[in-house]
Amino acid sequence: MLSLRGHLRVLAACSLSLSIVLGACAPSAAPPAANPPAPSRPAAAPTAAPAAPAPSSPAAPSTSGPSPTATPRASAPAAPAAQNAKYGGVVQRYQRVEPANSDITQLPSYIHIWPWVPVFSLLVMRDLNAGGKLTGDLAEQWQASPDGQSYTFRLRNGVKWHDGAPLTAADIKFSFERAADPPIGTVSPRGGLYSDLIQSIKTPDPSTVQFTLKRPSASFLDLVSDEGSLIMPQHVVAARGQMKDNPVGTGPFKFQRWARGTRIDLVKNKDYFLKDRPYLDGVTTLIIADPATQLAALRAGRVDMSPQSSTGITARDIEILKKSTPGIIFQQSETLSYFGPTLNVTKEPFKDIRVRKAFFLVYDQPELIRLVAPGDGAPGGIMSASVDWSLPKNELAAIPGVKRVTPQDIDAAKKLLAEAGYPNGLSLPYQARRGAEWVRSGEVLGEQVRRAGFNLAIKTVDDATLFKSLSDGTFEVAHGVYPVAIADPDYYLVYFRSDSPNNASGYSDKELDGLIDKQARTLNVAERKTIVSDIQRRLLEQFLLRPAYFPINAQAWWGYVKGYASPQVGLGNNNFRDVWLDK
Amino acid sequence: MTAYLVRRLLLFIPVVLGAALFVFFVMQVLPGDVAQLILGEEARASSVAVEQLREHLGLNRPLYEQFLSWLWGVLRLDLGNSLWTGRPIMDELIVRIPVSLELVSLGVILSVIIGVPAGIVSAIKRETLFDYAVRSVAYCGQAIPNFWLGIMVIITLVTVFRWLPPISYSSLIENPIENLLMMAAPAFVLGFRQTAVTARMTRSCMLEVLNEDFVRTARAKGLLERAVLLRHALANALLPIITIVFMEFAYLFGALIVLEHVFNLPGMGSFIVEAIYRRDVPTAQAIILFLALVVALTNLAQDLLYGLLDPRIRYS
Repeated sequence: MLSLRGHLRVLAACSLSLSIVLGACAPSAAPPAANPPAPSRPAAAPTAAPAAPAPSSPAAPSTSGPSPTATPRASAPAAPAAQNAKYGGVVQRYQRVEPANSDITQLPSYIHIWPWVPVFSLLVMRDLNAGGKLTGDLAEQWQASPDGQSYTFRLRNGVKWHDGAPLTAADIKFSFERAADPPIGTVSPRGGLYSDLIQSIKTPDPSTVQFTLKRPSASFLDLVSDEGSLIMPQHVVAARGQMKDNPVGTGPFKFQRWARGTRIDLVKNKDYFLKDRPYLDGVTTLIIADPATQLAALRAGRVDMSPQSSTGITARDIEILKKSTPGIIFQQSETLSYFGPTLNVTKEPFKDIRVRKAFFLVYDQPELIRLVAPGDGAPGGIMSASVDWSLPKNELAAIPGVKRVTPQDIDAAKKLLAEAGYPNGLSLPYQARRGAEWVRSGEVLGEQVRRAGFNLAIKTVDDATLFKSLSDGTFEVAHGVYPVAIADPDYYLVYFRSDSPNNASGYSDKELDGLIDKQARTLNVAERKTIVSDIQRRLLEQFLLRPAYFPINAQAWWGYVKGYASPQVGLGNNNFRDVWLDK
Repeated sequence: MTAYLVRRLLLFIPVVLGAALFVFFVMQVLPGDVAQLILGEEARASSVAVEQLREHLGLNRPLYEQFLSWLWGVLRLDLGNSLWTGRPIMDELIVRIPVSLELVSLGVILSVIIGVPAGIVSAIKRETLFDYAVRSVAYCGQAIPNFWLGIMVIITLVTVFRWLPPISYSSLIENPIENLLMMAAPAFVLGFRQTAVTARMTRSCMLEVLNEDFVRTARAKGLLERAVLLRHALANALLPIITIVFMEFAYLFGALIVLEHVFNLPGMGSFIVEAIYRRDVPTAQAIILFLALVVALTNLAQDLLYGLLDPRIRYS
């Protein structure tokens, strides 16, 4: 047995060696080129004004909608290799959540799809370096029929899957049909989006795909260019039954390995159908769960970029990062999604519209944003205020629940509540979703509605519990969740159809359903806008819910990452085809 | 002795089974449905789709059938598939268990190497500066929350030393240097508290023993102080210290949850939290099975070690 002195000697030796080892390692891991000149990027300023997200705006009809002509839309050829683009290097990105698997159709939400986007291709995609313009990926050409109810795509020649098999129209048909109507044992969380629209798919020849829709739709191309529509290989999925691991795609990067819980490595596809792409040798996604660790890794240069819609990077973080690491570029964008207090109209007390109105008369959205997410949240009604389909900002500013609360509002609310039979107010449980800002929003909400006499008992619950009570309708007022992937009214209004499983408030109005259907079929943008505005007014007057705010997400990446454009939500995703590293 | 061992090993079965049963029923009682989560974390799918998935996953079978079929699988060493990823749970455990085991072992080793000598010297030189220093640091170690310390360590490393430990895990076999570099900071944080506990325990045990008559006798016999301290005093003080060390070893797996999150280690802690959030019952059961086994094994090892160290203890 070692003597005490012996113990101490061993300890000293260990500490010495450890410090030598650490010292030797430190310099080589120093952050790269600490101060390249901060590049000028128009959207880098972290002002509260978010970058406008929606390409499918009335003012820009060429980017969406079927513009009823018969002339085929040819895809602009991919921008020629940037003059000084360097080949080589591996981009490291991170995200908080590890994908459940690699079978795109079966993945529950977009964050699970992001690491796989470079492995696959879309029929048509958004060119993020050209402002989100629609451009062909697998499709060389496409056109819509004059009635907007049928679309024909002509595929590129010579596209191969990563295992060497050729891509044919059958793969396209397979992918969309699998999404719309999955076989038993396959789940398709976004299936409703496809089955609602697509009537049938034909493949007259191996290079042509023809979609026939159930109705004319202004949002079909948005759906086709959404990353949920990444094309899957029929031969692989048919053989394996699923593609939850070892994905095979046609994209610029091939799957290399997935170290569970740690990282996903993709390598360059040398047989990519664009001969001079990709520039990078690989794309790696690291799974980093903790926001503090994420930021530290970004600052230290261990990762080259944050994920798009990084809720981990707040306006305050941007201020800090700008000072400490000027080499980092930021881009902020407003999400289309929102969350907010939702009332259950199928049970007391919120069956009574007076009680609902009283609730939202004292709900102060601007105040909540100021308290919970200053610089990180944007206002809106049932649509983000910066989407062109939304009611104009000056109209929204007069609507209860979106505007500032005045003393008259508080009095009116108390009166309404008394009329409805609650002269002394009432106590209710409120289900808040676990998460710092979400719980705080609940607390602020509680403070605000107390002024009218509502006493909210805030219960913080985890996702599984919350979603169950939202879908079962066992709540009175709860944190409602409204994810929206595409900036089209269809995706905002789905939450209000009486037959929708996502209708948390339980509101049912056949006339409204009719209007929602009508706008979905209206191709004329101005006409559609009128109907959509009418719908918004009706819904806002029913006081079913109000958004807490529309989160503003910031993406950050080092200046040496070139050719990267941050996907604004609703504008598809970046497959790293055009990205190169300047180092 | 063999009979004792066999009896103890047989006792594992009710302990481990009991834990698994408990977890199974608690997870059933929790509101929430894994099928709903699979079908879209945020977009709730139609009830038809949810029902179909529940059928497919076998969630509509009677509870006893679900538990018994799981048990049958365990007896054949088949832990089943995760409801969330669809992959065999064993595959995930094989990757994650070594991570947590390594971290806990490093923390405990560190605590023993530093804590025991510090405690001994502190006891010998009680009421001196060294003693005060050790006790103060020990109190800090027990009072400071480990997740805070972990985040502080990372921030300090980045801002002061401009260095971050590796954020992506490589196993000890793949890349021992990267692995140890990554483990150094969390092992330090884990070890900090452990060292505090061990040092304090050692100190008080030593103090107690040093007052015993046989120590005085040993000194009177003319033995070197070193022999008195180590061969006589420490050997007798060791039993409670061992108890603490082994107990803490099992406890540490729970303490890992937040540390793994902060230091980005793909270990058991984060795994079980995810399994519970997702209501992934088979995964949660498998992990609890493992943890119950660890506790039972460490208890057994502890008892056997007692028998080894103290000839007065005999098992029959």
